[in-house]
Amino acid sequence: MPYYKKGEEFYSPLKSAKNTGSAKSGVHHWIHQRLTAVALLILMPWALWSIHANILGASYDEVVAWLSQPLNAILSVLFIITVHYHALLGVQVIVEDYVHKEWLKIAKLVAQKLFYVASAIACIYAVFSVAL
Amino acid sequence: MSDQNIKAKRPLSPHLQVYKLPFSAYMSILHRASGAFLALFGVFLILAFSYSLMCGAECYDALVSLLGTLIGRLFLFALSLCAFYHMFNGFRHLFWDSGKLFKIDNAQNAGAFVMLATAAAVLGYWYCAYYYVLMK
Ligand code: HEM
Ligand code: HEM
Repeated sequence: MPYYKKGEEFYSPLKSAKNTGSAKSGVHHWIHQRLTAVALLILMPWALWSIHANILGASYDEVVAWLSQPLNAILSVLFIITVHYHALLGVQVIVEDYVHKEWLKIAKLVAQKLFYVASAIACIYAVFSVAL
Repeated sequence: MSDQNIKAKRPLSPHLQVYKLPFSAYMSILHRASGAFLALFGVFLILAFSYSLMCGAECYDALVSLLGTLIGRLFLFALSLCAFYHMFNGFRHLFWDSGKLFKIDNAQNAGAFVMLATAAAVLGYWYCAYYYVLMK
């Protein structure tokens, strides 16, 4: 049940003042956070299992051999992409909630985006260079 | 409607200094905290791990022995706690997002289940890790 209906009492003047109503964009952010969450629900157990079964206690060569199997390389890349995207979306919400100085907020959002994109690319590059 | 009226009719949000948080509120905060921990340190570990693999056996062994120190193990323990908690509780979130588990009892039972599952998984995981590594 919604707490209020359109036109009822909980609308604040801020809505008219800011002239936007809802944030206009943002639904895709919410949906992508859920989509990546669903994907992670499969990829995380796989990653935890792999760490446990194939990486813990293994030598460098064994890990490289494990990562060179196509399925493992592909799942690793999918995991890397999904984690980075989900983490970026999540961290973005946290900064939007807690950082109120506009310039600082924008600086942090930009820095995060750059960091996560760069980190994802570096990780994927590393997987390919080891696996191929 | 005037400003005053709107304010009077709005539900108040809890005043954190004097409000006893319910169990579900702690779980909510923990979801955010564990997510932030994973997003910072988990991602950084993935980056370090991939980079060390690319860099070669010496880098990889250096990273592994760093993680094998007491502080390294405590770090990994915290990370695994966050990962399992966030994963199970994220599952609970997805139930809510599909319109389920909204009754207070159901939400709380699911929360208690998340706590138990997290504890069991983390303990099992570390038991396995030690068993597996020590047996080698
Ligand atoms: C994500 C969670 C888990 C993963 C990825 C995992 C993975 C593994 C792996 C790879 C081994 C070593 C198998 C081998 O020796 O080749 C193992 C052993 C074992 N695990 Fe788990 N495990 C998990 C959770 C649990 C839990 C929750 C429990 C119990 C509460 C458990 C109990 C055991 C036991 C008793 C062994 C030793 C079995 C043996 O080799 O004789 N595990 N696990
Ligand atoms: C099985 C794995 C995962 C599932 C099912 C999952 C699920 C979710 C869901 C449903 C949300 C939205 C919560 C909300 O709206 O309050 C969320 C938020 C978040 N997740 Fe995950 N997640 C998973 C793994 C991860 C990983 C690996 C990371 C970090 C690398 C991460 C970082 C975050 C962050 C930072 C947030 C934002 C927290 C907030 O807004 O309070 N998650 N997750």
